[in-house]
Amino acid sequence: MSPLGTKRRPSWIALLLQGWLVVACAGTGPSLSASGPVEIRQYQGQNLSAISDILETDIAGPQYVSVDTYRLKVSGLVTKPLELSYDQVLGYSHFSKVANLPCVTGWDATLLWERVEIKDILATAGVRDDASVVIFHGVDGYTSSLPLAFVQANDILLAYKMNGLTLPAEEGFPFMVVSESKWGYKWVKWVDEIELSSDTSYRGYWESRGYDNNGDRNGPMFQP
Amino acid sequence: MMPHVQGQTGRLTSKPSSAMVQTRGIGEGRQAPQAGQSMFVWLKNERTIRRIGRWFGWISLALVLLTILTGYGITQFRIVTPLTAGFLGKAVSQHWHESLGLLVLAALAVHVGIALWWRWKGTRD
Repeated sequence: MSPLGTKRRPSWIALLLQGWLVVACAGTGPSLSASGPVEIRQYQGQNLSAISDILETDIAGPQYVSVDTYRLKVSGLVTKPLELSYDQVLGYSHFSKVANLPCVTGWDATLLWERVEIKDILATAGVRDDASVVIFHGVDGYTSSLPLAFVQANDILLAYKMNGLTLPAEEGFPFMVVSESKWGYKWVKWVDEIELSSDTSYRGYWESRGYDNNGDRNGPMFQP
Repeated sequence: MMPHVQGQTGRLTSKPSSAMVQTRGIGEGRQAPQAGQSMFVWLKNERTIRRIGRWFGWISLALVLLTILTGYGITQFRIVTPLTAGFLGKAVSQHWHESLGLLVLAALAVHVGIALWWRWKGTRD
């Protein structure tokens, strides 16, 4: 009861305002206190796409790989087969580069990639003379291949970061092949094996389902 | 022909009134055959053209549905490929999808063109 003897009713407007303030403050809280790594959206004057711009077109959906159990195998026609842990792969010299990921379905994304060169890893394993094809295997069963000469002559790399952030699980953590100038189906995600082969007729997952084996961005998209 | 009321007398007759003829579809039955042209050829041509127009409408609809399906075959291949028993894979879908655009436009143009021609003909006559 109020001193005047009348019953005070709650002000619904005041209650609504208080509720709105609580929600608004809660909404702004995390952004004000964010301290984690931030996605880079501009690099050396060049605008970058957002990681979220990459559409999910994987054959079995996102894969979640544990760093503790992860091993990158280098097998096939090599003198010294390798099994490298995540940290061992990161031990190779790495650098950053902006590259455009083009998808056959029409979209593309320009991103900053931090990566190691595959030819350095192959040099450690020792490539045999009869090897001519590099086959990349993903943990989801996806495969694709590139000619060995192309891999050795170009910057074909294993990326572990995009736009300054460690690869998200949806985008191929721990490693993704960055095959610049090739269609996106040559950019294998969740790579867990690099196999060297002499089988020039080998066709990867999409290549055996109608897409061109060369995968050149400026070349034909489909097999003749 | 059902008997109907003719005039104010209320007398029943089986003869169609001129008002009944006027209630037909636009252009239908209005144009008299030209001199020297048989009734059969005149009817056949008009109806054939309209029938072609109608068929192209259905063809357009089928092509639009196929375009949508192949579009899903590209983006949702994990669902569409097994649903079509592997027939509509991603590459096949994309191949078809890219070719279907022109076909849809052509079929739709024929369908709409004939419909417009028929309407124009009906208002002219």
